[in-house]
Amino acid sequence: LNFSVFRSLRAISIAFIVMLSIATVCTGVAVYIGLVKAIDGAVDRRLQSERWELLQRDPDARELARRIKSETGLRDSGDIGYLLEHRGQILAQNIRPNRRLPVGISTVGSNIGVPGLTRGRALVTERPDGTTLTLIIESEPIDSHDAHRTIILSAGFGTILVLVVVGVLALGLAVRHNIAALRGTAETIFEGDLSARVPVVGQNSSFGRQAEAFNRMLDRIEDLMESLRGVSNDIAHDLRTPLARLRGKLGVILDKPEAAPLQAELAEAMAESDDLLAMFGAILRIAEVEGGEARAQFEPLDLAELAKETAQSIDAMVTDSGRTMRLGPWHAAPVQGDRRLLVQLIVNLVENAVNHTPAGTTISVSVERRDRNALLIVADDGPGISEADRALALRRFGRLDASRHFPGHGLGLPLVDAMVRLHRGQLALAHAGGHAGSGLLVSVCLPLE
Amino acid sequence: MSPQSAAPQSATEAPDRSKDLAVLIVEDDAALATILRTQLSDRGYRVDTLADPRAALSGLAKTRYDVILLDRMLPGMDGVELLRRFRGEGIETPVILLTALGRTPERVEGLDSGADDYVVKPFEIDELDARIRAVLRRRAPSESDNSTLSAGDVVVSILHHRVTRAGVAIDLQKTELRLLAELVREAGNVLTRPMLLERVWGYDFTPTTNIVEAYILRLRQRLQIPGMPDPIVTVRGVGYMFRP
Repeated sequence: LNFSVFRSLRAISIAFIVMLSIATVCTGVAVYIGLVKAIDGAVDRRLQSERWELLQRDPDARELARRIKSETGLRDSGDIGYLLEHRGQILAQNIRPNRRLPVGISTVGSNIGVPGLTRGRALVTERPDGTTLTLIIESEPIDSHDAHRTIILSAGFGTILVLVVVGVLALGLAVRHNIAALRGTAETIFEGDLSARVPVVGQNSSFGRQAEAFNRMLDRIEDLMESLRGVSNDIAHDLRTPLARLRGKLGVILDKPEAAPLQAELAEAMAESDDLLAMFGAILRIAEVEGGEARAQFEPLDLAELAKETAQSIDAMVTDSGRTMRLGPWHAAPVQGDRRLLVQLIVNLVENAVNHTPAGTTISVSVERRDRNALLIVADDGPGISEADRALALRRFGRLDASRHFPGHGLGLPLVDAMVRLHRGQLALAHAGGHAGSGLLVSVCLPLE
Repeated sequence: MSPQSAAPQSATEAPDRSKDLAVLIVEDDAALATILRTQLSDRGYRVDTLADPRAALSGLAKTRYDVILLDRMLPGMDGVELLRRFRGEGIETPVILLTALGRTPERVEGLDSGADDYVVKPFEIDELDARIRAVLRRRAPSESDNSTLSAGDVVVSILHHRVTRAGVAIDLQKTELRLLAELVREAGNVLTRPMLLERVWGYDFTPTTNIVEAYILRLRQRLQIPGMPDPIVTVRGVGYMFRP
């Protein structure tokens, strides 16, 4: 048996409602049948006792007719119907069914043509002297009682069914709402807003307590992140300042006439410290982007327009590096974003392509629309990155062996990745020509506004 | 002690121009303050240093400075907080914030609270020098409107996207025009690479490629007229200057 279907709240609700409906309908039918049977049983017992009374001491036909006449004369007609026949000749009666009824007990309805009778039981006895005694008792003393009974039963069981279905749906809705609140908060936090909390409804309800526990956990996480960020800022300050000092001292030495023979070494030392500082800059920028604060300044902008302008404004650098830039197509793509960060993202991707490909490479930049997304594509026809190396390329300091001799600090793509996530998008690496060695294709997929 | 020596007309970058300029450095890192003092004094500035932010408030009351270099993180008081107090007390001296934090929100906060510029540590002394001069130039009354700029034989009309050199029309791409406009506007002064990246490209990060060099090269090729000198001067290790 596969129970995995019951992991979904909806499946559980539907299964429960279907089974409950079947059970309720069966119960209703059973109650109806039982009720009819009970009435028939009681009527049958009365028929039997009536016949026993009439046939006491085995009367002849004339005596029996007399007894029937006295019975019908005694009481109002309608309660019990009597018919005594002898070979088609009626000896005594207060009813006249329009057809012959079978010997023994049977159910009769309005179709036998007895006025006022909607449903009843008939007892037909054939006697040895050739007479036939028919007794009919109504099992429906009130007209269309059966219809009313059906309505009463349906209303009763129907109400139960409706109440339970509404209850199950309400419970499902409450659970679903609660889960949605948790999920919404989790997603907001995933997107970088650590201040998001689950709304607490009813402090003493189990949902409320769950939300509070969840929120306490989030408070703790936020505190930890806050102190982590504080530490990283302190590190930045404490390491960058002495580095700046070191660099300043090198500069002072470089300016001295005695340092003339050491110019090359000093310049190299300064370049080394510049690389270190650039790395700090990138780490701090990643931290800043991952903090998600920039989202507060998001504005509507056209990604195509921005990418076009940005690519055109660095076109000379690409050309001078011996590579060719192919621009467009530009399909208008309105998105919400931080202009400065998106400019840096585009510049980083183009620089990445310039830094990791040989001269003669063609680098293309374009913006398209696919479904409800804007797609920024920066592709080259250089060596590309193999599937196995893609995860490494996106990891901090995850420089590929092949790229160690290229400039950069190994934080370019991780920074782009952080920026894309800040914009609620997705970064993907692929082979530009669909096969290994056909170049790198970086696609940035952002939701359209 | 007024900043008249920073008038934009002076022909070349002469070291004696900074002779009369008084700089106050508010920095708690004594070693960095000493290096700054040495380097700025070498360039002819008169330099005072203070480590205590509270002393800075009273120090300003006694002496007039042309520019204040203010550390963003000071013991007991945030540099931005101190800056707000300066401005609150009507002290309009130009302020350049020095900081180890290059984060955009902090940059914006610093500029919003009245700083004239924002320099991220570490920086080249040439960079700081150029920025001090730029801040003083910006404070000096500017010439007419900015839609048409000219220096030497070059005229740039930003509004009409038109450039001429010695009367000859020169076709420039958008980025090239913006770069030329910035150089011409500041003709005679050195603009550093980071300053150009900020003003022309709007970057607040350091690119890993030589974008500025590539566009300067383009600009030189476009402005070339046989028999006439290259109007753009490279100041080695610092930046570029338009020769007026």
